[in-house]
Amino acid sequence: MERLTEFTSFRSRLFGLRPTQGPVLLCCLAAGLVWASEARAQMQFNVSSYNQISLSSDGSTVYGTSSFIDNSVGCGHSGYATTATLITPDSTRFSGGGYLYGNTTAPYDTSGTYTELGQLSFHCSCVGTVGSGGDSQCVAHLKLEGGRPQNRHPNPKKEQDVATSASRTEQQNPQRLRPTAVVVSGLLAVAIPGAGKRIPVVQPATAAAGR
Amino acid sequence: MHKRRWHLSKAYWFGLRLALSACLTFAAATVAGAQNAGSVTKLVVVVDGATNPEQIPDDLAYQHFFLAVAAHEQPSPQEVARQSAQLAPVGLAASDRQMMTRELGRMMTALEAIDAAERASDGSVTALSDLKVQRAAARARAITTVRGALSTEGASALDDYVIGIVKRGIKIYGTAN
Repeated sequence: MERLTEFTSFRSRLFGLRPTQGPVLLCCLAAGLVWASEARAQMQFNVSSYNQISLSSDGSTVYGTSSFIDNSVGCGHSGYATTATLITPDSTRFSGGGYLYGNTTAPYDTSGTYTELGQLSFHCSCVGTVGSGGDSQCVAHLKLEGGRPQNRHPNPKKEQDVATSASRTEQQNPQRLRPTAVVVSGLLAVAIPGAGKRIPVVQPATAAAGR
Repeated sequence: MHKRRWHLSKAYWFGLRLALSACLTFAAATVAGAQNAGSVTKLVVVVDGATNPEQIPDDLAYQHFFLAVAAHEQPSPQEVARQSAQLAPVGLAASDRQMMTRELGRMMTALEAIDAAERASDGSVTALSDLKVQRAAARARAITTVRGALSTEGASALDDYVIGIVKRGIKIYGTAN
């Protein structure tokens, strides 16, 4: 009984809150939350991205690039992981990755809009995992109209050799139409004059490598 | 007797409560931190170059373009083809292009060494900050070297392309306030 009284007394001493002590404890809890959020406050994020899509000179390959620059101030950032995704008009996705850059490559065999997406994630010493980009944010478009049926490689594996064999192919098809690029409403549109038909889709095999 | 023991010192109880408060404060901070660590902080677009290209600094646009176009010093045929496609719209003369790709190769070598050092670092804020400074310096050095070595026409063409086209493809992310 005596021990119980002692314990009750101890508990009431320690936890028994007088009217003025409740707010004090609440303030302590709030202070803890503020302390944690201050780490966020001292972090000023400044991450920029650039996406680009280009068409090879022979009109056979579409190249996508995503790059990120982190100019944030405050905490330590590490473990960058960039994912670059090139989406063809028939919704085929080609992905590449790297540290702060990523490249993608796709054969140009379908008319329509090619879209490059860049996404970055990294670790911040103050707030944990941070992500930027996404389907609605970090994109570049390349609208391609027409086709290049003469130079498509039936064997997708040969797409890797497109660049090196471009000059030879050029000699074989001297009248092949070259694409011209114009910028229309923020989109880089490349039109191949005289060609307007949709060509059969060759299942792509080359996914890209990141830097 | 017991009463006296529990009433030993007001300072003792004050100290005990203070310690308890400190523990609660620390626990709250830890819980908040753990919640941060478990979730992903999503950055949002604060400047969109497509709509506000004037808010993208020239220097940032150059850095992004150089990063996008750079290939290794000993590039693979695929890299050469990609770089050629990316540089074609700029309209540089062959000599300017050659010089530029050479410098970008050097920049790429430097950046990859910094990336590797970052992966191997102890993760301290100081070390990461130093590497970030080195990375920025490597990019800035490439810009200075290329712009200084280009012909007048080449410099003008590059400037037109970077400011007129590249800026529109840049987005700057930050946190939502």
